[in-house]
Amino acid sequence: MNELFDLVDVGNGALYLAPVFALYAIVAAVVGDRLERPAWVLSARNALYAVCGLLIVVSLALVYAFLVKDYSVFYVFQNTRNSQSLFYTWTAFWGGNAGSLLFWATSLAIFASIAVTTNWRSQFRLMPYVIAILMTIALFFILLMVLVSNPLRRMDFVPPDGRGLNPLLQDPGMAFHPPLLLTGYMSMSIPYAFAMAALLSGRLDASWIRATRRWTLTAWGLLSLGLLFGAWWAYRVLGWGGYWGWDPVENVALIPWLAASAYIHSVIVTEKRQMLRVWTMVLVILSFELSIFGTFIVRSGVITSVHSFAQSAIGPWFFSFLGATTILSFFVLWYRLPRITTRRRLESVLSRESGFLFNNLLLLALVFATIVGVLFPMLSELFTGVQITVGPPFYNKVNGPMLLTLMALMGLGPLLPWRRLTRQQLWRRFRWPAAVFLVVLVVLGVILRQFWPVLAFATSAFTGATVIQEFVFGVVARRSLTQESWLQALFRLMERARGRYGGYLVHLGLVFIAFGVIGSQFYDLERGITLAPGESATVGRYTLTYLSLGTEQSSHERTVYARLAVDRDGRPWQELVPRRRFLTGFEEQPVSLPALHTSLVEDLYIVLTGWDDSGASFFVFVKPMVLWIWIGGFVLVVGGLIAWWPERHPVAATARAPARPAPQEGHSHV
Amino acid sequence: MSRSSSVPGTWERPRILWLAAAGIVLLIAALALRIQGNMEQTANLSADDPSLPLDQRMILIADQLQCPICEGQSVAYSNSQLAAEMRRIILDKLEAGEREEAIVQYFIDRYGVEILREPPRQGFLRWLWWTPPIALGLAALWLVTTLWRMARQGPRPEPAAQAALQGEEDILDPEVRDLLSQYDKDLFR
Repeated sequence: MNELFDLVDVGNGALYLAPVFALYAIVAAVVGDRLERPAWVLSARNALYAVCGLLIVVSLALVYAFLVKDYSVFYVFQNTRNSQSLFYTWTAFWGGNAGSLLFWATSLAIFASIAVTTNWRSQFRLMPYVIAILMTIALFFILLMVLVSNPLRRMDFVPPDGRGLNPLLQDPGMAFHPPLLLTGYMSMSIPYAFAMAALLSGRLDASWIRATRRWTLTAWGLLSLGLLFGAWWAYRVLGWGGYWGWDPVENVALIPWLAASAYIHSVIVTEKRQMLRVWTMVLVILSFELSIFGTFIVRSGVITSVHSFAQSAIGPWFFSFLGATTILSFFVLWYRLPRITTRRRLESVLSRESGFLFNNLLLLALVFATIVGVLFPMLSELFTGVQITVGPPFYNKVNGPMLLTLMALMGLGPLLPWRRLTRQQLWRRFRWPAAVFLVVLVVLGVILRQFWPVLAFATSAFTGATVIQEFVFGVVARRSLTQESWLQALFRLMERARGRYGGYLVHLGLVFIAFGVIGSQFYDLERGITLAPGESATVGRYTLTYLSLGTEQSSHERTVYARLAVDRDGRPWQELVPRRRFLTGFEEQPVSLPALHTSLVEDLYIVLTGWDDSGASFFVFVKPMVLWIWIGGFVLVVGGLIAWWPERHPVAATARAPARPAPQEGHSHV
Repeated sequence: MSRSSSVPGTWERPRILWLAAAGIVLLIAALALRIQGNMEQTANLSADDPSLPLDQRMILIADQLQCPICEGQSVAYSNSQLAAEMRRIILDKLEAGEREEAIVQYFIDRYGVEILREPPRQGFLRWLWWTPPIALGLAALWLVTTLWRMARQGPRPEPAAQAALQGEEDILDPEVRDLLSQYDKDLFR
């Protein structure tokens, strides 16, 4: 293995060197600040860059080992094999435990470098502590790799072939889902580091909030994308017609997302009204700790689920890190408490400030209920010795009503003005969305005659209406002042207040997602049928006739497929072909490739479950409105992106020319 | 901005909004009409109902059970051999005329309560069901009383601010208002 010798060993060297630099960065940053020696802080920053460079070298070494399939590296042996395609050899990087840790640490070092570089001048007083905290987190992950789970660990011999990646992971969705979630978890470190730096350095003005606004949105956006891709992957591959199963590992991805959502809202109050400063600090600490908790649950094997593909003995390490950082963070917060409590008082219970607080209450209640659901099986076994399963029924019954309330608040919040609500405002702002709510309630009540789905649809329609109203108010106001067309006015409005209107788009996306979830949860059909060739069965509007079975063989997989002729509403419609895939080496773990016909109204979803000489059996699902979930996801991501997009402050834009000339004439007077 | 008719469309606003409202209602009603056909088949189904197809009754039972070897999935939709075997057992028992309760109890006897996806509400397990709503209730109570107290103690807004709040432009949020005044400056500089 002469030609392989170099890079993996270089990678190992870099891995063992990285903690030295990280430790140095921590010490130099803190000492430099205490002794007021800027040169030390500068040196700490350069050490941070060095850690980043070293981790990139480690990652490249692992990629290289994968590409040349160097099976002497244990992690490579575990996660790829000769018959595995190049694409999935790439994605095997984060297919297991050690690789995920490396991915986490490397992306943290890269993000840390960017955050430190871009804020170096403007937030110089915070920098020593930002560097120290980010490097402490990185040091933890690097030490985990060095001591417990080294991705570049060599074995004494070279096996002829590897074991290969779990076939469920060999899907395009898996190329995006884990790295998005891992970087999402990781990104919460940046706002956390700035918040802790503000506390530690005593510079407690709002500048750390402005500096991290976009980092928070980055973390939130990446988690959102990760959750959406996970749902899409589950829907397409797991073959049970669902997109979300309240599985423990899905839950621990949702939990930091909920906490980060709460933080994003409370930080608005802190920024605009200088209120809730302590609470915002609590939320940023919570979001970070819950991200670590998420990584911990996914990677420790404490809780088994479909997702915990990678398990090892890193549990106690994570547990200690989680405990230590939580205690220290809250200790520092408590220590600074006298300096951050605000004098600003709330003026009215009916104000946007309190709307945000109720939003936070609901989001944290959801966080709490979900954590209870995830951890209760452990508690039950500990205290009573009874093993239990907490499945979807619990979450549907407990989280469902809370989500519905949250949806209502999402509509009410933007209608409430800052400070206090007056009677005229109440009438002007509420009449139209309230009318939409009532009409939908009555019309659907007549059509559907069921309480919960009708209430849920009407509530979502109400929230959608408030978003539309906000856009219309803004656009009409602009148009009456300028000669802009509707589209121009809409575009300018969003351009001028990106956080606000991007946020509204996110709300709209959530409304669409709610439509899809309500429709598919309450009005789905599910059947399991067995058909002989030529035989038919009817599910809802569809009649399925089983035609024949076939097999395809390629170098790394064998696929069995069944052909079904489908009639819709009694008329011939189209042929659908559900498949089942057997990857070479994993013949015992076939993967379903459901046949899926999707539309705005409903999806027809067919899974091939078994076959013999006499016929084949299928699961057939009719899932209404699932497409709305993906549409909503798209709108949500676009909204998040608009809110995230760098904003030229209106004052700054008039004061000096934008760095990049804007294409529209709005800036041309500058 | 004056109160003349050229003010941010005080009259233009309702028309377009009511059109949008009609659109929203029509869209949702159309979707509801299309999916309501499914409702009769999903509402309050019972696995003991002999008029339903056997496979549908089987899924209704199997979906209450957690696949013991592939956690996170129900027996109804798991790919595993064991789940397929369990589905077979449920079908056989239904064919033999056994009732839902007896079949579920059969699996509890063999695998423990762990097999249930919805934990029973008894003994220690009550805490699972009651902790979240109690916590939410207490937190909400605390929040409401705190807000109430703060609002009563808090400063009354000064008259000028109060007047501004009740002006014609209060339809707009301060942010949009700021933005418009910024625009005024740009335009009429």
